[in-house]
This record gives sequence, structure tokens and C-alpha cells, in this order.
Amino acid sequence: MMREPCLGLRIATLALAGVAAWLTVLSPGIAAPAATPSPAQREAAPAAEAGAHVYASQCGACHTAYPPELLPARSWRAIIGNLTRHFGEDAGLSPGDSASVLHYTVAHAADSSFGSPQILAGLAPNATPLRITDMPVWRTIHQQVIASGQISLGTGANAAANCGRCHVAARTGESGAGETGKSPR
Amino acid sequence: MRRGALPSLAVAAVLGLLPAAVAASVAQYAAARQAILSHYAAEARREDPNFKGFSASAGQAFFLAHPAAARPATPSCSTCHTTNPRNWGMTRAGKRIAPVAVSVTPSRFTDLHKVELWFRRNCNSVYGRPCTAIEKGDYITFMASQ
Repeated sequence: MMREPCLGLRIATLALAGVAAWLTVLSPGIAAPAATPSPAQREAAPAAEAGAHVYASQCGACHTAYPPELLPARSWRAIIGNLTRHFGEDAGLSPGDSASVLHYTVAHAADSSFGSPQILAGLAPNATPLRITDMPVWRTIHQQVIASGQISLGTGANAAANCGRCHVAARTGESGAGETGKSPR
Repeated sequence: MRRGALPSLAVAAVLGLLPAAVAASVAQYAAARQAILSHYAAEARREDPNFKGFSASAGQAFFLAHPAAARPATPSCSTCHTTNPRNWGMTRAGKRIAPVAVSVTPSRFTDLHKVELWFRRNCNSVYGRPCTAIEKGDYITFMASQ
């Protein structure tokens, strides 16, 4: 147990570095419809770039555009393959957008060249978590804030799904929202 | 004196033009929204030959309803958008949603592709089925009045 904090810190540093690098592609989100390209513009863009944009604008409209590096490719296939029943809601995309989001997330998954083995630590090879909060590494890093009730594994403002509540850099599309949050670790 | 005058003039010019630019974009949004309403009106006439026009009060009732077929996570439009469309809403994952009321978010309902995408998703989630053109037009008419 004594080496836990050290390992946790290393993992957190790696994860945050990944998040920071990744956040540069985030769009302002739902409040900026003008940034959404037309279907024709989307087709003209290279597949990977289009996937990143669709991911940030479409997925990021409802929740943090989670870094794809935080789940293995098999998880992204399971999630994107069932978007019309997405955690209780219909989040369906057009077939084209769905394909480009799948392409982008799988290409950047934890087990891709963009990922790192540390993110997959403790995850059974046959496990397919559908939530980042079900990743053992995420649980280890966040065990204190879960135990203290600072974040909840349910829904709402203090939902763990709302990364930006504590991680300032993960905030998007929240003009005028308070910027008092701390960046943990 | 002279060195400071030019930047001040530039600032004044920009400030003077701002309200005009905002008014122009609001007018463009209104025209785009009207085109979408016309699109749904044409569809509504095919759904119901006696269709007379959209109703803001029907749109309000549709917005506030708790349909029996709703998925448990989304019992009503107002679950995420709150019962006052001028308020900011919140998704279940904690992300803020810009007000649906056009008076607060003038760019609402100005992109048919986006409008159709969200009606398809949210009608399935809240009503357990696709919405009719009449329902969509009523909803937009209500939001445009808010």
C-alpha cells in the first residue's frame, strides 16, 4: 500500500498529459452551432480529422469529450455500436458520423499507439468497460474523492462523468461558468 | 493627442457597428428558423389535410409532458431543459445546455440538419417514438415565443 501514491501519481501524470494533449482539439460544444460543418464539408475533410471534430462536437455536446486514450478499442466498438441506447438515451449519429467517430476513437484507444499500458493496468483482458469510471486505474486515482462524496458515480452536477468540475482544462462550452475549480494533483 | 485619437476612433467605429452586426445575425437566424417552420408546415399538411398552423401552447404542453413511453432516464423534455426554456439546462452527465428559448439563444432552430438530429434522438428518448412534423413545429413555435 505504501507504493500506491507513487504509482497513482505516475499514472495520473501520464493520464493528465494525455488529456492535456488531447484537449487541444476540443470544440466549444453545443453553444456554438456555427462551428458545425455541413455534411459536404465533413466529407471533404480527411477521415481522422473529421472523426476528431465529430467526436468533439457531437459527443461533447452532452458530456466531456472523454479522451479516447482512456478506454481500450473493444470498449469504443461496444459503445459506438450501440449509440441509440447510450446509457439510457438515444445518442444516435448518422451512419457517416458514427463511422468516423469509431475510426477516431479506436485509432486513439488505450491499446493504440496513442495509449499507454498504465491506463490498462488491472483491467482483465476480456473485460469491456463501457465507462471510464469502471477502469481500475481511474478508480484508484479517484478513490479519495469518491469516498469523501466530492464526486458521485451517478448523474448530475457532481457526476464523475463531469470531468471539468474539478479538472479545469477539461471544461468546454461553458461560457460564464465559474473558473474556481482546482486541477487535482 | 493625435496618437491617441486614431485608436479611439477605431474603437468607437467598432462599437458603433456592433449592434448593427448583432441585429443582422438575429434577422438571419429568424429567417433560417422561418424556413425550417415552413418545411415542417409542408410536412404537417401531408400528415393532416386540415392542418391550420402551429400552436405555441401545444408546443408548451408537449415540452412539459411526461409521456408514458419515456425512457426512465428522460421522463420529460424538461428533465434536462428545466421547466423554463429560458433557463440553462443540464445533461445527465453534468454538461450545461444553452437555453432552448430563442430570446436567450437566437441561433436555436436555424440548422435543419441539427434540428432533425436532436428531435430524432430526444423524441425517441422522451416519447419513445419519432415526433410528428406538427409536434416539431409546435415545439419550435413555442420556443420562438419564449
